[in-house]
Order: sequence, then C-alpha cells, then structure tokens
Amino acid sequence: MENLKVEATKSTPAISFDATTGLLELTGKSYPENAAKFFSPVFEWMTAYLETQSPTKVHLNVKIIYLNSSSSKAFLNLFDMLDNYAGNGRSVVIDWHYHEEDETGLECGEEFQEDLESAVFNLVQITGD
Amino acid sequence: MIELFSLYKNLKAEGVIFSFCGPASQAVVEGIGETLRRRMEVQGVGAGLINKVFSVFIEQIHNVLHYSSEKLPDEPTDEDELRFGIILIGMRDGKYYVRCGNYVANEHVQALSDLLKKLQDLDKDGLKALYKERRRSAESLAGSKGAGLGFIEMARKASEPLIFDLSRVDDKLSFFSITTII
Repeated sequence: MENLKVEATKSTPAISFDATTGLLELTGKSYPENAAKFFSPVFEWMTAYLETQSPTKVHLNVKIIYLNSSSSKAFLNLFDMLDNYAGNGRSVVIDWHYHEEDETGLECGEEFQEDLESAVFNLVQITGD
Repeated sequence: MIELFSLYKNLKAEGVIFSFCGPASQAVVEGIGETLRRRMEVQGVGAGLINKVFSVFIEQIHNVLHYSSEKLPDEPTDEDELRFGIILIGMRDGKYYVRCGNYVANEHVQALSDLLKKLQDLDKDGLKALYKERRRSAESLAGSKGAGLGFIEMARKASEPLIFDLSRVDDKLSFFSITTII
C-alpha cells in the first residue's frame, strides 16, 4: 500500500502516514477553507489502511499548533476511526503534542481524550522553542 | 468621497489594529491571519492570547467566506466564489475584539438569531457541552463548508457574551454583525 504524504501549506498540516511502519504524523496548522474536502483523502487512506493492512500497531503523532472548529470535527472523525479499530490485540496510540505555554492546545487535547474509549490518547508536553 | 485621513483617524480612535472590507478568499484569510499573529508576537503578547484572537478571527472570516450573501459570481459554483464582508480587529479597554459584518438572506435570520441568543445564555461548561455534542453529531450541513461549530468556538474564546445584530435591509437581505470580546 502507498504511503500518504502531503506537504504543509500556511493553512493545512503536513501529513505523513507510513503504511509499513504504522507511524502516522500530522504537523502544523489546520484551518483549510473546506475541512471536509481537505481531509477526505485522509479518511479514504485510513479506511483502506485499516481494512487491507490490518496493522497490529498504529501510532499517530499529532503536532498541531492550531486547528479551527471544522478541522476539529475532521480530527474527531479520524480519531474515532482509530478508536473503533483499537482493542482485540490491536494497539492504537495517539500522542497529542502541545506547547507548555499553550493552554488552548492542552484543553483541546483533553477534550479529544474524553471522547475516546479504546485508543490510548496521551497528552505530551513540549517545552522550549 | 469620504476623506481618507478622517476614516483612518476614526478607525484608530476605535482602537482598530486591522481592518478589511471586501471579497474574502482563503489567501486573504491566511495573509491577514499570519500578519495579525506577527503583529501580536512583535508586541510581546502571550501565546495563549494570540491563539485566542487568531482563532476568533479565523472563525469569523470563514463565516464570511462560507455564508455571506453578497458574492461573485452570482450563480452557484463550487469553487473560487468571492464573498464580501467587513472585519475589524482591535483593542478597547485593554481587551482585544474581533468584529465582523456581512449580508445574510432573510430566511436564515431566525435560526441565526436563535442560536446566538442560546449561546449568550450559556456559561463555559454549557458551551463546552454544546460544542462536544455538536462536534460528535453534526454532519456537515448540505451547502455548508463548515461544521456549524464556529459560533460556539467564538463564544468559548470570548470573555464576555457575544454581541450581535441583524438589521433588515430589504425583503431579501439583512445585515449581520457580530462582536467577540476576548
């Protein structure tokens, strides 16, 4: 299966999803004009990945410094897919990174954490620059 | 024509640090957003406050971009529509504010007014609960490019209840304005 790689723009995150290692990463800012449209290839990739590759380990690193409300909906959809997949011997870890001075980033992570059941959702603090 | 220097002085007197009036596009959103961030960073504003002001600005200007009734071309298209509005970002009494105005169709006025009145009455916990409920349940509405969460997000970032006005212009359009004080 092909990896998913998308370069960042000012308003959309870099996406690096590796189907071989199960290491997935979202980095940057997310406030596209149309979040549903921007994230639709990401959902398609994830559906195909979970169905055809049946990975036993998935690790998603989220290093997002800002996301708007419609991206937040898209992120929840993505986390839900992973949350539903987790369990039955399949390990799913989502690491939510936030800067120590960014209270909003921490709150945002906590609110995703509260909404998930089976996946491990860690809040990872970044210090310094 | 209006004398530009008096317009400029009026905006300054209102504490405006950024004003925009015209067709919004994603390029405009990115350009003003990044410049606003830089301006606040240079002034030594804390990261938390910068993120709040930036977030309210993005939600407001995306509303113009998605919902303003004044647009070009007039016929419906999927791409590259220009939708018009006005945005002011400024500071008053030591607090940042973001204000936004655009035309809306009269048929949307009641629903908009009901939602905003509801948000005015909710406290922080109520807003959080509504946000999470909507985020989980809301399908993207037909004809909508957002998730319908923008106003709740604004209310959550605000330090005072949202202020809004809907003024009827004619039998088709009203002018919608909203002020978020952060």
